Parts: sequence; structure tokens; C-alpha cells
Amino acid sequence: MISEEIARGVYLHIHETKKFKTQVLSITFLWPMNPSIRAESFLLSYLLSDTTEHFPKKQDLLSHLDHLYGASLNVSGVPRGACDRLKISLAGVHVNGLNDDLVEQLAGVGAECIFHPRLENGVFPDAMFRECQEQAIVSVRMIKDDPQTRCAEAAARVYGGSMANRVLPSPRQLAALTPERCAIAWRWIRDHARVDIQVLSDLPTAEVRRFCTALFPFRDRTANPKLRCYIPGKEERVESVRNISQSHIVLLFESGILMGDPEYPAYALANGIFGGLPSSLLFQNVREKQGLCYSIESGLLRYDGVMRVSTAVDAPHIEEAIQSILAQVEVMKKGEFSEEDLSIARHMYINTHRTMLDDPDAILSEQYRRALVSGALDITSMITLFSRMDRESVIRAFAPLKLKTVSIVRQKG
Amino acid sequence: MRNERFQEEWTEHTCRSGLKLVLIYKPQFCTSAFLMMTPFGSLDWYQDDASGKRSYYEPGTAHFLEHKLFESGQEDVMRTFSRFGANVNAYTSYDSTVYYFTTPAEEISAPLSLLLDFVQDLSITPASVEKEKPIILEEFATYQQDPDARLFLESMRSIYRTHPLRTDIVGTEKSIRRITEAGLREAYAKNYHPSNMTLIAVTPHPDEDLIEIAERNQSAKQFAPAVPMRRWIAPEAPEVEREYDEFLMDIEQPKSAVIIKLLPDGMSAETMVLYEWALRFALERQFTAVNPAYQKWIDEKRITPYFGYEVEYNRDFAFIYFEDTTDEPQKLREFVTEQFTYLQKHGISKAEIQQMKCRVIGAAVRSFDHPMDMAASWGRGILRSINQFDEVALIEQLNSEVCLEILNKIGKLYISCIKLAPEH
Repeated sequence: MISEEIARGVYLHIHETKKFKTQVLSITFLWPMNPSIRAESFLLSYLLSDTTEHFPKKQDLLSHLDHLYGASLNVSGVPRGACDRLKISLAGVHVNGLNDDLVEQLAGVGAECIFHPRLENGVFPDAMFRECQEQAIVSVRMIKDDPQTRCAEAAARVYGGSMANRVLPSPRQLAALTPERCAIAWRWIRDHARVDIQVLSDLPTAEVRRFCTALFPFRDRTANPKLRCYIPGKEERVESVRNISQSHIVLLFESGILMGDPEYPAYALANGIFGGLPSSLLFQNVREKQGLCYSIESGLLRYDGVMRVSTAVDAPHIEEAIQSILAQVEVMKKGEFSEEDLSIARHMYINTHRTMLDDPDAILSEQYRRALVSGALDITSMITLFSRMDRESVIRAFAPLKLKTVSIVRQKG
Repeated sequence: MRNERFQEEWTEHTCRSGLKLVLIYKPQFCTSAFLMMTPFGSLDWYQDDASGKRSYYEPGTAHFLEHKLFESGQEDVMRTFSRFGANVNAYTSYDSTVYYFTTPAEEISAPLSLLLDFVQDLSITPASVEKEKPIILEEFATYQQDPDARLFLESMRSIYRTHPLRTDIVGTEKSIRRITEAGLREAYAKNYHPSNMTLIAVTPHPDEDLIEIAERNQSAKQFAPAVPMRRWIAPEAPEVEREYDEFLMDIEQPKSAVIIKLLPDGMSAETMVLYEWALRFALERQFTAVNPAYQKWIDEKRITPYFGYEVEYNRDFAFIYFEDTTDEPQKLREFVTEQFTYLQKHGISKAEIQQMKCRVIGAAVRSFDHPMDMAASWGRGILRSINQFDEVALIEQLNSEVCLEILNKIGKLYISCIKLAPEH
């Protein structure tokens, strides 16, 4: 794998491998989160995904991708840490020598989306804009109709900082957007945000470099976004009531440990013992012993220094479940987990990382994180560190955990 | 065996116990995916034995068994798999229950033997069955508040009068509470015999090693004689149960569904697969951006960009399910009827069929890069009596004439529509 800066703030990463039939190319824009263009960046993932100047109808672009043997194009706008992000992903497969120029064709489609989006007089055409705007509003409503997401969003809003900045734009914010504002936002992102072009394919590196530098003539840029952003959270409890069949709980614990920190591998293992694995203390106690829930898990918000616990229970058991989760936090802090718990987490995380080597998307995601986060380790180094972690380092990593935010979406009645 | 076109190799073997093995060799990967399945799913409320004697299982029995198999005596199976560094899980579908694990481990004997052991050992007590009920009831509650899952379930209640599809895969609140240790034991005995099951592996490990592990494991066990069972579902009339219905949920986004009920009368497995793909191609041509009129329909607000469809064509049920984010189900019904009737008259062109074929072949090849996806696809193929490579070959035979013929065999449309509305 090679990585090089082809213009200031523009990086090309080429992973040459014959291991996969799938060929993947992505172009990711990253910039410091700016709440004033959050709604625009969310809407842009719709505006850029179906048509371009060269493919002015959805039918044209779809037909082109189908004839590349079912190639796919996906534009997503999911922010990470303290940054907003827009990612254009393309994937396809070589089919018995029928489409040898696939990767260059995919890159061509990516370049079309970026340099020749469908604009009229410099702005997105009105009918297309209204359609995408409506689509984005409906999408937000549908996401919020999931009570677990609603609960997590409420928790993030209360916690504050970059977590609050990342919540979904409201339908009202989306409705207030105009084609002009979105075109201005897009030009700013294209010309100022950091760019990472990643290609995983069986083509020689030199060939990929040739067509990528020709197809993506990005100018120098000065933005230097930092994903990591530790902001102490607010201590608060937020509740809402809805007519649903389960009550949802999200707890946010501040740890201050971020990806790239020396404590991070031990912290990741601690999460596995606590609630990140099916063998975890939360699963074994809250679900299996107490029978309070069907699913319960903890996860690391790796760029925020936060651990999130999510579950759903019957309303009369809300407080019992919260107390049970907090009891397991204490178990972790006192180091009252078994040697076997530690050994299982170690073994599972080592194997999970080894499995990533068999997944083209995981390889590229891991490579992207490493390009962005100073101190982030590659898969092999993480495996080595996991194998060395002892009980003391796991206890130390869990020690700073403080409960900050409790969010509950309570079922009526 | 080897498929030259896709350069994939596999071995099939039947153990002395009757367990069938399909071993797909992927030497370039370090990850192995192992999947063990029985064709016992949520549709199995009634089964007939060879003499015609009918058994009844409570709705949700297959799913309940899936939960309980993870307790093997005093041992927690998930924890033991984790000890081996393997990720294990399971799922129940309409027509099967599937247990699987993935691992990059070089030592495969222990987790593979554990998979065979825990699936072939039901260790339950009345108390352990009761202990599981609140957990499954919480799972039931999760699906109840999912708008898409509810819309689909209410749609099935609209098109069917008695079919098990009227009930969620996990069962109902009442049936979950009614399930007993004896009921689970009976269902297990009749449906988990090795001759009824298949183990599929997508793995870098050589087939002879895996066959030896499986044979050694099976020869150490004793199994009662197999009792072949056949699913029985009460015949349904072609007419739908209710043509229109609506229900409320605490949501913001209304949705509507239109369902065309189909009757798969006694076709061969291959014909059914051909029917399903002919319908998929035709619907993709008519109802998506492949159709030149698609954008006009969106501009005229006849559909939204969220309009989509699903096709199911199986031995026991068949339907086409259309869904959109609209609160006008009758208009959606008119649109679907009009376009489907057009399709029955005009069919799909040669060029459009070729476009669909490229897409399907690409998707199939891409799944070969994902061991678990490949194992699951092979498993679905077994239930439909066709493997992935033969399925692609069959799809390649599809042409305009065959598609048109299949569309016309559907004849009169039996349709339901349903609306999910916000309660406020």
C-alpha cells in the first residue's frame, strides 16, 4: 500500500492486491464541523448521488453502472468526531476479462460526481433540488421514528460538544435550504476540505496513480481537520414518552480516551469485557441472568472519548436496568472480572482484526483512520498490543469512566 | 467440483449420520465461515410424517429453539465460542433456522466440533424455558415498534386468511407464553436429525481435514432413526383477506404498502426460481430508474424516491410487496395496478434483460468476496434446490419471451393495500 500527497491536503492511497474480485474506490472530503453548513452537507449526499452533468438522468447513470457489471455508487454524509464528512464510494467486480478498465471507469464516475455535478447556471436545478430536499426530510423523519436512534440523538444533544454538533439536521433546517446555498457549500467543500482518494484494486500502482492524478485535479488546500475532540460532557438526564412497546435507554460515559492514545488498545479490550462482545458482563448479567432485555451493548465513540451503552427494556425495569449497568461499571473499575473474561476479549479482538484483512471495505476504513489520526496503529500493531495487555492496564483504562448523560425514551402507560 | 467461469471450488459430502457437507475452498482468505441449517422455520406450525400423521407446533417454536440451543448443559455456548475467538450467532427465517460462526483461527477443529455439538444437543428444563420467555418477549416488542416490520406484518394479515405469514417469526405474545419444554423437544426431535441438516463452510482449510473432523464428531454420537416431516400449510384461496386496512403508530412518517398475492401452484424448484427472476427483472425494468418514465412519476408525485418493491416466490408463499412513503395508499394501488398491467402487455426488452443480467452477475461475484454472504447464499440455494452457479446459469437463459409468458400466467391481480399513519 502506498500513500502520497498529490496536492497540499490531497492524499492518494493505493492498495494493490489480487486477493479480491471486488475493486473499490472512494473519495472522502473531511473538514472541521461547521454547524452552519451541517444541513447543507447532509443534503449534498442526495444531490450528488443520482445524476451528473454527463449523466443528467438517473436512468443514464444507473445504466452506465449496470453495464459495468452491477457497479455501485454511494454518496454518504456521516460526520465523525469533530469533523463533517462526505464520502463518494464506488465498487464493482471484474468479470472474466469483460470489463478490464473497470477501476478507471469507476474513477471516471467519481470524478463526474465531484467536478461535474448536475448544475444549471452554477446552482442545482430547482426540480432536482426540491426532490432531494423532500427525500432528505423524509429520511430524517424515518430515522427518528426508530426509538433507539431518537434516544441516542437526545443523549448526544445533551452531552454537547462535537457529539451535539453531529446530530441529524431537523426537517425545518432542511426545508430552509436553497439550491444556491447548497451549491456554495459544495464548492467550498470541494475546494477547501481535506481529500483522501483510496483505491483497492488488482491494477498496478503506477497505472492507478496515472489515471487518478489525471481524473482528480484537486488544488492545494489548507484545511487541516482533526477528528479527535475530547470535550467533557454535561451531567444530565433527559426523558421523553412515546406510545411504543419498549423503553429505550442510552447512557453516555466520559472516558477522555481517544483513538491514537496509548491507553486506547487497553480501553478497547475493557469495552469488550464490559459490553462490546456477546460474552460481556452486560450481556451475561442484564440479559442472561436478569432477563431484562433482548439486546444490550456498549460501544466506543472513538474520536470523542465517550463510551455509549444502549438497551431496551419494559418500562417498570428502567431503573433496575440502569442500576445493573452501573454495577457492572463498578465491577470493571474494581477489576472483579475474571482472567478468562480478559483472555476472551483479547482473543476476540485479535481475531476481529485479523478478519478485517479479508474485507476490502474494512481495509480501506482502517487505512483512512490511520491517515487521519496521529498515533493510530495498523492492524498488525493492534494485534501485537492486544496480545500484551494485562489486567492492570485494562483496569487503568476503565478507571476514568464517569456517567454523564442518561437518555430515556419511555413507553406510555 | 469446480466452476470454471467464476473460478470457485467446492466439495460435497454426506456423513454417515446423514449430515450433508458443502465445503467451499477459499485459500486466499484467512477467515472461515461455517453455517449449519435445518429447513425448520417460522412457517412450520403443522408438519405431516410419512403416514400422514400431523404435528402442531406453537407459532414461534423454531425461533424459541434457536434461543435455547445456545444453552448446552451448564455451558454458555456463546462464551465458549468467544474463548476460541470465534463470532457465533443464529437466525430464524420463514423456512429455516441457521447457526453460524466466523473465525480467522488456524485451529478449526474445536469451534467446528462445538457448532456440531451444540446444534445436536438440546439441553432444556421447564425452568430454562420459562427463563427465556421475558427475553423473547422483549425481542417481540422490538419488532412491534419497528414501522417497516409492522407494515409488512399487517400486509401479510391483509392478503392471507390463515397462513403462518400472518404471524411474526418470533410468534405472538400468547404463543410465546404457551411454548413448553415438551413442545420444543418434539419439534427438535423431528427437525434436527442430521439427515435433515446441512453444514456449509467457506474456508481456507482443506476439505479432507474438515470431512475428517465432521465424520469423527458424528460417529461419536447416536441418533434416533430419522422421521421425515413435511410442512403443511392450509390451502389459501386466491382472494385477499381484506382489500384495504390502516393502522396507527407513534411515528412521524406515514407509509403505505400494496401487495399482489401470487399462488405458486405445484411448480418444480427450477421453475419457481425462474419465475422469481423473471418477475424481478420485469419489476426492476418497470418500477425503478431503469424506466424512462420513472422521473416523470416522481415529478408528478405518483411515487417518491423511496418507492420500492420485494418479490418472494417460494413453494409455500408468493407475493410482490410495494412500499412507499405516502399517506395515499389508494393512489399507490392505482399506480401499481396500471403499471403491472402495462408490464403484462408489453414485457421487457432484450436490452433491458441484458442490463439486469450484468447487474445480477456482478452482485453474485461480489458476494464471493464475503465468506459469510457466500455461505448464506448457498444455504438459501439449498432450500430452493439450486446452487449459486446454477442459479446464475438459469438467469442467463431468461429472455423477453419467457418473461412475458410468466407475467401473463399471473393473470388476474389479487391486491391489498394498507396505510400506516402517525397517531397524532
